Amino acid sequence: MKFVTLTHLIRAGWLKKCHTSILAFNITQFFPSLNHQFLSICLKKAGLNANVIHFFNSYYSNCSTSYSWNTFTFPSFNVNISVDQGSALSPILSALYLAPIIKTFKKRIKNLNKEFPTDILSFVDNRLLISQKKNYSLSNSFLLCSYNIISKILIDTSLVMEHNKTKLFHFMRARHPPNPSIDLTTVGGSIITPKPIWRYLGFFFDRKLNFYYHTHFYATKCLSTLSTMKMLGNSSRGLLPIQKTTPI
Amino acid sequence: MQCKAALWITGAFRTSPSDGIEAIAGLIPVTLHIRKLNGRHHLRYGTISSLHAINLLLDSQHAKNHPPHRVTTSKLTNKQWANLKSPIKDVNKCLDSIRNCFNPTFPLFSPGSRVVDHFSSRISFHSPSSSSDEDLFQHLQNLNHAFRSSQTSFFSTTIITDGGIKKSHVATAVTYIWCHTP
Repeated sequence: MKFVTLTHLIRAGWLKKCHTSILAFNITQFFPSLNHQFLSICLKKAGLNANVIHFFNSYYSNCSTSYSWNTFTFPSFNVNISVDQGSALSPILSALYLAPIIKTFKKRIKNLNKEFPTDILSFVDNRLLISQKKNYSLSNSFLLCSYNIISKILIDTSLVMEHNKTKLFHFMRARHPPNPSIDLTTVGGSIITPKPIWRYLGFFFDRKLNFYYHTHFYATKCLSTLSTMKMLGNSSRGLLPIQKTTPI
Repeated sequence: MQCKAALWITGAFRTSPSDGIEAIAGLIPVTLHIRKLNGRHHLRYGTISSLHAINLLLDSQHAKNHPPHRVTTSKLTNKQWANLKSPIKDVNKCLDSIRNCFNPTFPLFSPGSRVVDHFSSRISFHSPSSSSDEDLFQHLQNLNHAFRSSQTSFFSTTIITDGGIKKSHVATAVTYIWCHTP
């Protein structure tokens, strides 16, 4: 559904004669960096039952961890951060943790300008800043401003952005559209140059939303799977026909 | 590509007809498969949480009280709406066709508990005997007579239903209920 949202935003923006610029960034070690104290405040703000809040306070109090290397184990020490990797609760808790961050971000950009054309989309530790403007330089400056604001909010909530994984992408319908880069050196990043193809959540986006590269990539993958699986069996031996149908 | 897969599954000769071996291999045509997945995807929007962000982009009647986003379909002009190629447009159309559902296994619907089982002596049915013009004319006169007689007696209810509507995409049957109370 995130993919559908993104596609709709881009296409509707084109109809309003605005091009869409996207800045994708990650958070370093997201689950192991969640602060328990802040999480407790978030749960309270979310309006959860007192018993639930009490349970989580107790669950995450006096946590300790230790590192082991082959047979050698380091002594354990207390930690006041991190939710369990692989736990079913962690994505929900992380979403509750992020809700006030996004709310603060929206409030701050609204204070700057009521018509600030930047949206934020979040998927676990993956964030997108979306700016829609008719002018590239304006769009880039809005993105830079939003990036600065969100990085400061994240630092306040004990999270760190992974600047070297930040990506920029411009969606444009024109035949030979410009592809300007963005300078994030002032906010701790580097100069980012957009590429013609952007991989996001398993989809390959191109600048005109044609998905030619996407279909070509997955068709090739499918054909190579088929040719490889030929070796695994035929109608008389090896894999059964029903087992063969499943990967297709 | 699908033919290649079907050949591999069945182990048939490479000159075998594609459609035949696809049917034997149990693979539905790719176009139909895509249509099936697309339809399911549209219906999924009817079950999402009211707090989901996608509600912002849907039409006001499906948005579950969320304020409209600046690029929501309702904020586009008619020309822009016509030119829009977005999955959200199809979702809005699909959600329009979803109606309230009822529980078919509810205790009151089970045989022996229905109204017709309890009060069979007080209910009379008037159905056409055949679809010929003469019978339909006779049936119409009978219905008029029955309707007039029900209007004169108190505490009577008339229910008229028609399940033969074919042209409408929204409704497949229509019901009219007339209650006469003093």
